[in-house]
Amino acid sequence: MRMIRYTLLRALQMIPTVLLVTVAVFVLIIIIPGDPVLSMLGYYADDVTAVPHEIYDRMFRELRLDRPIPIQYLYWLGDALQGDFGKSVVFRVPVIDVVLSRVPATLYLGTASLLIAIVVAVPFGVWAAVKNDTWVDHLASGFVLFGVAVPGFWFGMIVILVFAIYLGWLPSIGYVAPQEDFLRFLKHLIMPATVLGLDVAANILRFQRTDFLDQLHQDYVRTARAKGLPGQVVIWKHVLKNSLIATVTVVGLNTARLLGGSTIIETLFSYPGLSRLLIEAIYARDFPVIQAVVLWMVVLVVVVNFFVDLIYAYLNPRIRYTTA
Amino acid sequence: MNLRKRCNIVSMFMLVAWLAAAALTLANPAAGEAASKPEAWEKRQGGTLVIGSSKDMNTKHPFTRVTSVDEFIKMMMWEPITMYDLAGKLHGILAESWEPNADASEWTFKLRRGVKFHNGAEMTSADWVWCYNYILNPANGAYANTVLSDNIAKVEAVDPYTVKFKMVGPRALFPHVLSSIQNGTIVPKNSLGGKVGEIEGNPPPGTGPFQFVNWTPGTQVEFKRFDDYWEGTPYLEGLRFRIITNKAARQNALRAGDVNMADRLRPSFAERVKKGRITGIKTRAVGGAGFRQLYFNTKGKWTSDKRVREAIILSLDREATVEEGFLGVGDPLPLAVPPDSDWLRSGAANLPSYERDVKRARQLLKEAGYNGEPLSLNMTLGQEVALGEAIVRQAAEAGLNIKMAPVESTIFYERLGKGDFSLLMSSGRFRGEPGLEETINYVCEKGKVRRSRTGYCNPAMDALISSYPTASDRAERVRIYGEIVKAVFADEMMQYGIGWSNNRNFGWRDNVKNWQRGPGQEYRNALGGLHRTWIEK
Amino acid sequence: MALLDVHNLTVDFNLGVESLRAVDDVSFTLEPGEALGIVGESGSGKTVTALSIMRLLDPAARITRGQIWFDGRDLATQDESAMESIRGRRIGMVFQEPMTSLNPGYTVGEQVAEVYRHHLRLSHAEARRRTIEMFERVKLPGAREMFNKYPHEFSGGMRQRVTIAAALACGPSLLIADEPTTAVDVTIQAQILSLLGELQRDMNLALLFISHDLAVVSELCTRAAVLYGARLMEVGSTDAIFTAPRHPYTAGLINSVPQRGQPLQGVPGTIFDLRSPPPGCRFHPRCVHAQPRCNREIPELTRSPASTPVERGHVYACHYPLDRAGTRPT
Repeated sequence: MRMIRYTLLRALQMIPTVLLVTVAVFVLIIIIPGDPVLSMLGYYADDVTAVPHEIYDRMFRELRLDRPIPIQYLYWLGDALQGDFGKSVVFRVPVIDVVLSRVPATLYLGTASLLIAIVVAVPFGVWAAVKNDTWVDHLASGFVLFGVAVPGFWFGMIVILVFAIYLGWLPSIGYVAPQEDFLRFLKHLIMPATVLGLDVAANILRFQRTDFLDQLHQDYVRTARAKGLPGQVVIWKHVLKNSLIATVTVVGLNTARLLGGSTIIETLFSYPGLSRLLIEAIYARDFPVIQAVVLWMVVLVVVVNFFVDLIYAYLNPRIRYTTA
Repeated sequence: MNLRKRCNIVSMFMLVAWLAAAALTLANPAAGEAASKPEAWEKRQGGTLVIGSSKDMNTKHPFTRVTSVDEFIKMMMWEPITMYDLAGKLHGILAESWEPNADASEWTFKLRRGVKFHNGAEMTSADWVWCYNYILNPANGAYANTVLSDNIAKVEAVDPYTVKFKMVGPRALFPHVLSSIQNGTIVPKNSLGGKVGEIEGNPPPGTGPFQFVNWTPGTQVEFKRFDDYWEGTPYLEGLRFRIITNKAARQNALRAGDVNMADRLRPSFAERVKKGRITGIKTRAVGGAGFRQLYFNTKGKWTSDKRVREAIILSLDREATVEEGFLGVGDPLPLAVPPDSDWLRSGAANLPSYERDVKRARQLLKEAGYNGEPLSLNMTLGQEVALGEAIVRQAAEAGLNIKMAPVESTIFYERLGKGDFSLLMSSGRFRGEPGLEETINYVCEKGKVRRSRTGYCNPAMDALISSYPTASDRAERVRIYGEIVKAVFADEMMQYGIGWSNNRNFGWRDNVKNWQRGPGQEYRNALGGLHRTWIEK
Repeated sequence: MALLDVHNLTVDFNLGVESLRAVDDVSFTLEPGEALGIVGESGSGKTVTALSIMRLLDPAARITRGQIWFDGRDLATQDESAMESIRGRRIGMVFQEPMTSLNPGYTVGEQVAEVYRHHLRLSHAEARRRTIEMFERVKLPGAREMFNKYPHEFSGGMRQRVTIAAALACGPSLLIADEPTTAVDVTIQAQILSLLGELQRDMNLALLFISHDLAVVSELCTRAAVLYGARLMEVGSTDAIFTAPRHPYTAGLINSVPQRGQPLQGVPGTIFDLRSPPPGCRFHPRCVHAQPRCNREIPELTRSPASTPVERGHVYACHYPLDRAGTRPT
């Protein structure tokens, strides 16, 4: 009951946050230099005298740039709520189509790398903490150091060199939809997901290990052992649940990052993700695309935070009561 | 000038001329006979060629502004009226021949017969008239409206295979203007409508060797073979442009065999291929794509003073700049024209000597009262930073304080529009008529066309440059070009040419046969292109 | 036969470069149903002794000598899985800090029920029923509603009742309580103590009660052992020890208990650093009665001549014990 109330409350709190963000996204676009009318017409910014006036003015009105900014915002918000983010300046197709064409690829890559990260980091972190100061622990520290210090770009290059160029096992670029060919989907996914996943794993592992070590010295662990519970039960039931609070924070931060896409990895593997779309849209002054992608990313962060909060509440019962 | 490099570029042009001649004799399709099969078609046909492309197609619209790679990709489905070969000779593509009247104020084009659109319909003069009227109507917002309305007064069909253009005045270079798909490719009549620059669904059919299948913006463009292509059925069954923006990723994809071809590779990559450290791949420098030059803002704080402009020119050493700025893969040349061409001879005769003279430069700066105030060098992010650095360093030896400002291209053009720069680094390519290239930089008022980028405004210059496209005689245009060069370089010191950058390399796997590049592009020229390429099994 | 027989227990801590002896040659016994208090200052080795019995010592600590006989088995040599079947089943333990000794992430009910499920292999429903019974037994008000509550919803006293319930769930024969009332306020303290006393009697429980508080020990325990600086100073019935302590340290402790109308007396000086114990009697640097011999010889545990039943089993480690009047004999 309390959990349900807490969930509803948190869900309601997302609405003003998202609204505030839409305002920020809208204003941001106004601040960025460049004339959207010229880009829409396919002219360079120094071409202004070359555009026939009637065309310029018509486009100006079509884009509602003649209206006061708050009105422009309301129009934009109204359309956005119906999934209409306008047309891409560069591609001249509906923004929603461009963005949606990138969403699945990004989600697959994000989810896969997150899974890899969690599957590697959590047990490894627990193991390293339990075997504190042994070779396992040193191995974990080495992994963390490697993951944090070595740039993903470089690691990705090495992986491509080995598996795509020398061994020829995996394709170096691109993405195939799973419904099209699942095996090829996996082959395309495995390298970028691993590179990204291990990077995040190092991040999670660092926190997981430290926090688990800290939890191991808590009084409740001694109590649990005094009750005669076997070491495995103490670790995986009692300690893990508490240490996950810290882990969930790190995982949450990384989830938002991963689901938003990783520019470097997407570029290196020529993977059709959102992050690359955003960068290219910024270069091309594709305002509607920028707005849609930024909004998507921010909404993603808000939604991920919502779930992180729910998981917090599950892991740490105190939260449910103080807020609900 | 560096003799070895000079030889390189000369031999390159010679090779190209030879190839063109060879291709002419080989590939002369029978007119009016569509769906003919080229040599050994059965044996060679099949397969999908995958190209790692540095950039994407921009729009599905045939009459919006085209940008380099965007145009190259579109030329797989849409063809221009005329096209250059690698030797710089203009050929008819959608037109078989053309004829001006005495003063070139009227042009009559004979259409190529038997050209079919991808929808199966035959191309006739009605399609031409419809397309040009579409562009000429300002309400449609076609990018070529500016250029074409400065040329065409009226377009009419004489018979199904003849079109007559009435020009606004003498326009000797009209066939040259029509060598770009942006200035009027032909799509079936009534195939465009709706909002300005927008297309619902698939792009309109073209006449090119490949027809559009689908486009995932930013990811890939797919084409399939057009069996009824007027020049004969292409060998390749399909063509897929995979957009790979990162150089390293393109190189990897080519090495891994994920793509058959890739454009714009690093010189270091080409070097490793040459040394045999990377096998299974061939590369070629696609020169002639990037000529680098400096323009001065004649309305700028200090650069409005001719003495300052001259001092900057005198502070630079072209050979050293090219060596340092292009990392050893460039050809120093003062003008953006082919070496040993009549263009260069005519222009060079009017060029100042450009010997580096730091002492004189200092003297000029002193006279101008310049004392180390900052001068901005406006350039885009994509341009060679090394080149900018070489310029900054050399100029500093004469006491000049040049600040490099590499900015993202929208800001670059915005500053250009506002005149917010001292120097401008720009790239250009040779398109056959160099006299046309300077219009944008020096012509101040000319009907409704733009003001000059350099801020320069002189009716004499306007008259000189606008006389260029009216001259039917090539020798006359060569002479006018020499005049323009004299005015721009010697009299006003408004421009400084650095040289050709040959750092763009194109690579392809060994099994790709008969790839021929076009002038300044990779996939098409008047005499060849990807429709003549096959993949060896 | 004694339920618990700790014999010459010695525990060393390895701290890397140096080491220290936290429990030094400690011996005592505990009969079934008996309550023994272990008294001493912080750092005297009380808690380490208790954790040695449970074999829950810090990884840096090791039992280097001695035996811990319980139920005919030497706990000092049992492996971990054997200990797991003893902990919570045969020996229960309650810790000092009720605020932190429960897992904040699980309901209090679950934390007791899991003991039933693990040791007695009971079903979830049965474990739940037994837990509620146990909650009633430790006098948690509204035991049924308490099951699904989390530790943070409880006061310190209520939490301590939960830990007691968990420790006693499987009906162990020995309960070790390590300062269970130190962290709760005084009124609650009395309730917990009387609960412990009651449970001890009802369940015929042997109780090892660790405290620094003599008054509490005298109330709850029949016997007491006094530790100082890792060594046993004196063991005997609480009556004997509190009415006629033979060891000057014990006497000092008794005097430091505040009493109405008397000025507060403490033991002068502070406890030594365990890393460098003084030679001879550990207490001699603080002992007002110390003689030269105290500096040289470690006193052995000596049996008091058992003239009265109260003094039976009364032993002390002092070269110059106090007489029954609590004064130093000449």
